[in-house]
Amino acid sequence: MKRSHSRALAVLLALALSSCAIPEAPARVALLYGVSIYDDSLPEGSYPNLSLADNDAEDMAAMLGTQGWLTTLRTDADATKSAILADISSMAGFDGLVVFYYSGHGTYDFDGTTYILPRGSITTGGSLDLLEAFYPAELFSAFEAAGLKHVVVILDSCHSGGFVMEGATTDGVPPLFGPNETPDGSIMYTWQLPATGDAIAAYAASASYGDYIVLSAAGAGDFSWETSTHGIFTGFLLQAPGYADADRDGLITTTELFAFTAVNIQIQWNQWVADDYDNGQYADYHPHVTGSPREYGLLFADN
Amino acid sequence: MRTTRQLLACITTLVFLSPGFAGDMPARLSIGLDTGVLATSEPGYDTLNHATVGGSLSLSLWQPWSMDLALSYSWAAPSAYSDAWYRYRGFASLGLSLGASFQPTDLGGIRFGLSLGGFVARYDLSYSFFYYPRLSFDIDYPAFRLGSGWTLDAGLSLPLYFRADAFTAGFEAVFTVSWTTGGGNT
Repeated sequence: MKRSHSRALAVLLALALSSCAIPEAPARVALLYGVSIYDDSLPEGSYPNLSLADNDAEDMAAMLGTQGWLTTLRTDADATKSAILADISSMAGFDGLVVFYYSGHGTYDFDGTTYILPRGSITTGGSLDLLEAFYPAELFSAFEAAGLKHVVVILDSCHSGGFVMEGATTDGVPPLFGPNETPDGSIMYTWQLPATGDAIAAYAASASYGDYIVLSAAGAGDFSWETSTHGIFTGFLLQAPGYADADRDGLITTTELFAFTAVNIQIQWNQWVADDYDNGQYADYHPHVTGSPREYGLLFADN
Repeated sequence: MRTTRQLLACITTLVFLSPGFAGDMPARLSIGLDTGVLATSEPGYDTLNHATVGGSLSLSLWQPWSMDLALSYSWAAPSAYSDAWYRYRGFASLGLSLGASFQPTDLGGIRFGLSLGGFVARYDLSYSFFYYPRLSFDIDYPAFRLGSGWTLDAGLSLPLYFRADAFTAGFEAVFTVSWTTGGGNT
């Protein structure tokens, strides 16, 4: 009897410990796009141009490159919708892990559909050409058409939360985040009991999150901001290898990236900068992550 | 605040119901700890295992057939990584279960139970919450009789998690301290 107990405990222990092992890295490709210059006749930082989105993509490419990723980088005039679609199509048949990263403008239209705006989607004079933009289903369809199964989308743009699908979950972070917003954009629930009604409704709806994991800088109603060196969200992504490995297993996952960027944006931007001027121009914002059962390991942690 | 009050009312009811049934009606109040291994699978992706640990407070009424009510809190660790470097996310669950159990008089106190519960879970490190019904097959026996109606029970539980986007099943070792009143201590 004692022997059978010992065997059962040994099996339990072996199964539990097996979750600690990290397999050899799969083939990994990152497609990175950053658009600061939408209008060549205007200087960086003069609307519609941004200042640092191209730097974001370049530095993300460099960081991922040092982590063993193969990278394709396009900035400014090279980062058009057709070029992006061609890059995705060229991945057809690839069965490894893909990161799609975009930094630049984002917007939404009259029915609430969110877009990311590659080069060519803002014309000279600042008007939008949404046929040259991507909305979520269009981007995901491109991945699907290429047969890509393991894709993580990282977006540093305004309103990028519109690309994040809740699926059968409910997200406690409102799409327009911030205690000074109208309606109140405070986090709706931090533990299970207050979330019960919404969680049951999400279960009943049983919506699909769409297979692809999205990490966004901001909610569907939020702006996303730049500092003097990077987009704030991307700045924290670049710091992630040193600090974001919450479970200390050596690999930083999409959820750990979400948590690290969310905490730091809250502490280092929302609480110290935005609340002082929260009049709509300097609004608070909060990252979002897909409500999926899966998460992907993306970065090795610095040890 | 309103929901916190609701939870406290629920726990208080659970605790204070037990003495109310003391006397001729057999009642059992238990506090338990469990640990085990789960396997999770999302359609189209690998099945991966993860560890789980939890605790529960439960009330059983009547014998040899019992009605069981349990309040549980558990945590499932993130799963192992797949070869494609994905894993299933860890989550913490709070739930209430209602079930039935049977304790034959001639099997040394072994109890067989079946319960169905509703659980709300939060994915680790996020604000994503989800609901799932959980069906559980349980068996336990009084490993040590501590006197005055107190027993230390050991058992096995086989839970099935009917999640909307994935399926989870597993087995857990359960250790319970129970106090039985009315109708004798089996």
